[in-house]
Amino acid sequence: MLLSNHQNLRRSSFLFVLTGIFIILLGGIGAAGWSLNISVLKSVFPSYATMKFNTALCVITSGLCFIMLIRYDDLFLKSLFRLLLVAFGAFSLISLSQDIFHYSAGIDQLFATDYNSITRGLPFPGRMSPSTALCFSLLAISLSGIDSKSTIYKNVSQYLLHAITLIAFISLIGYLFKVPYSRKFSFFSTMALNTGISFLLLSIVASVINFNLGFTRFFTGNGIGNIMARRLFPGMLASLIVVGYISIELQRGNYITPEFAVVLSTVTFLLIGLFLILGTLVAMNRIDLKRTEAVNECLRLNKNLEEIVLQRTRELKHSNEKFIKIFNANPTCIVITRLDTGEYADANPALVEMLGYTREELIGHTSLELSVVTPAYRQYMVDNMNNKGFMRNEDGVFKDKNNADKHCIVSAELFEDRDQKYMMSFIYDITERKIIENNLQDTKKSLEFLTDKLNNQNKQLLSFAHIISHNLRAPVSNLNLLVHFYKESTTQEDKDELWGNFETVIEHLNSTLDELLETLKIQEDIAKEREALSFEKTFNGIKEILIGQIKESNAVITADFSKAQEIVYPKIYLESIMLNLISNALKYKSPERIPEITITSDNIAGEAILTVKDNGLGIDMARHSENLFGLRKTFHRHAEAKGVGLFLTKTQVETMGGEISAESVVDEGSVFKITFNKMQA
Amino acid sequence: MNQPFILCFIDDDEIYHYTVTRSLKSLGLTKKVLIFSDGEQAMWFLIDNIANNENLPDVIFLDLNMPVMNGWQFIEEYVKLKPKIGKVITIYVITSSSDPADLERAKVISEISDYIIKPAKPEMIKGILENLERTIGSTDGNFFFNTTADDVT
Repeated sequence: MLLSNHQNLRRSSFLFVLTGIFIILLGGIGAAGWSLNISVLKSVFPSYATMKFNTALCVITSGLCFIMLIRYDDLFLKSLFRLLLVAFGAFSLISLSQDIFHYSAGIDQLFATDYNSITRGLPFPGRMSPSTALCFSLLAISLSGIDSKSTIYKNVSQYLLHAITLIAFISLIGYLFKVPYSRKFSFFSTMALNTGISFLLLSIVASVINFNLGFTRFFTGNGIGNIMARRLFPGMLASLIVVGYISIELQRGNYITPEFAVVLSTVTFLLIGLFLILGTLVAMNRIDLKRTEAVNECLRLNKNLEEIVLQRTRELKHSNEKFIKIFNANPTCIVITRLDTGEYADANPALVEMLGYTREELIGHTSLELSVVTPAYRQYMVDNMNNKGFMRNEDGVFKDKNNADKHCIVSAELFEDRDQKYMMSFIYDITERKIIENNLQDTKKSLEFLTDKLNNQNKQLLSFAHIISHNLRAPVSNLNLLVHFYKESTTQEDKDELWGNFETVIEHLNSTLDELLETLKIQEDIAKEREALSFEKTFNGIKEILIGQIKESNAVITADFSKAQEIVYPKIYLESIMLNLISNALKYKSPERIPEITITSDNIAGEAILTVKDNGLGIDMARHSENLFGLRKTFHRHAEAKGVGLFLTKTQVETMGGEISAESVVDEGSVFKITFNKMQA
Repeated sequence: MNQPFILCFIDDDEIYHYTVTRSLKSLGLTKKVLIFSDGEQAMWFLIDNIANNENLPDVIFLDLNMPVMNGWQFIEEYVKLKPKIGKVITIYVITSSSDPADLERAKVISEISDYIIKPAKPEMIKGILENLERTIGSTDGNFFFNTTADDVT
């Protein structure tokens, strides 16, 4: 880009375009002067040289070229720009060549007739001055090279522009000092005033495009030399022109001799020069002072900064030391791992102690590689970090070097260091606490078990008390009455009769006591030796005992012990339980049906269950469920119903920690279900 | 009012049957006596004779612990049957159970006039009967021993 090194591109561009328009305007005025034949427009002052029509055309063209140079960006305008450049360059070169080679190419009055020159008798009417032609030629070359990539070409362009400035300036000074229109000065003097202004303006402005080249660079930039140049040059220029003008005028008016004019101008200029230098000096000193202040300020700030840096470094060191102490002396395990790989970056002594690895064994290795955590748990932690950025007091299990589980409470934080994400985990080992907790739980469980057992025994004792009050009181009260009668009896016959009754009561009392004693014995035998028993074998034994009843009743007995084949239980009890249930089923058979008895074992949630089902008389559960397993409770008017079998069975089952239940429908049958070892969970 | 005064004993204890009849005999109370070995048998008798007031007992001595139908169950059934019975029957519970729970349970049943704990001496039975006779006012009656199905042990 042409103006790429301009700081305010829009402003620069605007000013350049404005210059171009002004140049076109100047050329336009000149051309208009020729078209309308108004001499003021041609030469500003009537006595001065005129801007020829050719010159006006070239000025307009060069103005256009300049705008295009600034603004062009598409290929077409670029081509047009080159065409126009070549056009006015060639035109001016031909014009110049006429002066050098003294011939006429016939272009001088091609567009307009130069009546002025003809009337004044000047040579070559309509021809542009050689200086003008030269300037246009130089301008064409310069504009073509101004945006070249080659620095040399760019430099050449710049100096050519300076040359144009110089030529135009000399011409203008000539007008200003009213240098006589002579042959010797004709090269410069023939350039019209407005042409000179155009060249001066255009060449100076164009040289600003590459402001860092040629003489222009003296005046641009913020270097102290540049500032000095900018301050001195205008003053010098102005004072020289003014002094020169005054001394020339004085001499012309014959007030002083030409020699004195030179002396006067020299001395005046020297004096003015001194003042200019003085002004510059003051300005420069002021600048220098500012610079010195700035330097001092900078030094001061630098010093402050250094102090701050030192302070920060100290603080950082302090906090780092603090961190290291916290890290190393903490009883909680602290470990830093890379979030992406899980690689250990640092671990504190507490962690080293907990896991049993040395610090060196940990650092550089990943937690997965050492199987300290499961991949699932590590992923869980990483997800937590990515979603929330932290973890608080969560349970986690870690494995130490010996592959032992460590139950821990885990908190973690995410942090970044040199663009790398890390996770800092705080791990608190609660394994021992966990063990104690588990022990406590176990103890609690066994206590609960014991309580259940005690409750059960209590219940048994209570029912035992009932049994005694119910079953012993009756015979005793009978005895009481019999004794009463005996005392009152008078005949031997009567006494014999009473005696017979005594025997019945005592027999009854005796059997009741036997049963109670048997029950007591069962309850004492809680720790009865248990052994692995086969249901099948036990059942076969029972069948043999009951062979008589089975044959007599034609009972069909089916057994299925496939679901649970064995049980650990006291042998006598299992036999007694089976015997009681099966013999009951046979005893209370329906007179209308052939007895069908089904015996099944089952295993529900690790508990062995025995079910005995029959199709017998059944029991009215609405009436008897309460007393079903009570001592001396009978439900049928059966000769062999004693109310002992189920009572003993229940006592045995419950003493061994089991449970017995029954379902029954009158005249359909009963189902007895025993859950063994219910409490030994 | 010269109707026979009928006593009813419901109890499964054979010795008790013996002592009761003997007590009554020794007291010289010649009454009509009904004896049942369990509640169900007594219930069947009541149902069978519901229309014959002259056969129904005036007093029932009821035991609580019995097979097949115990005392409580008998009372339950009796309450259902009561509106159909055209005779005032007084019920005494006479049992060997000294369990306070049983006593409490008996108290809240309005049909039970009293709760007697065995052994019931002949004098005690005499007192009760005299009491009843005073209110009902009957004296003479035949001593009648009724044995129904009595084969329960």
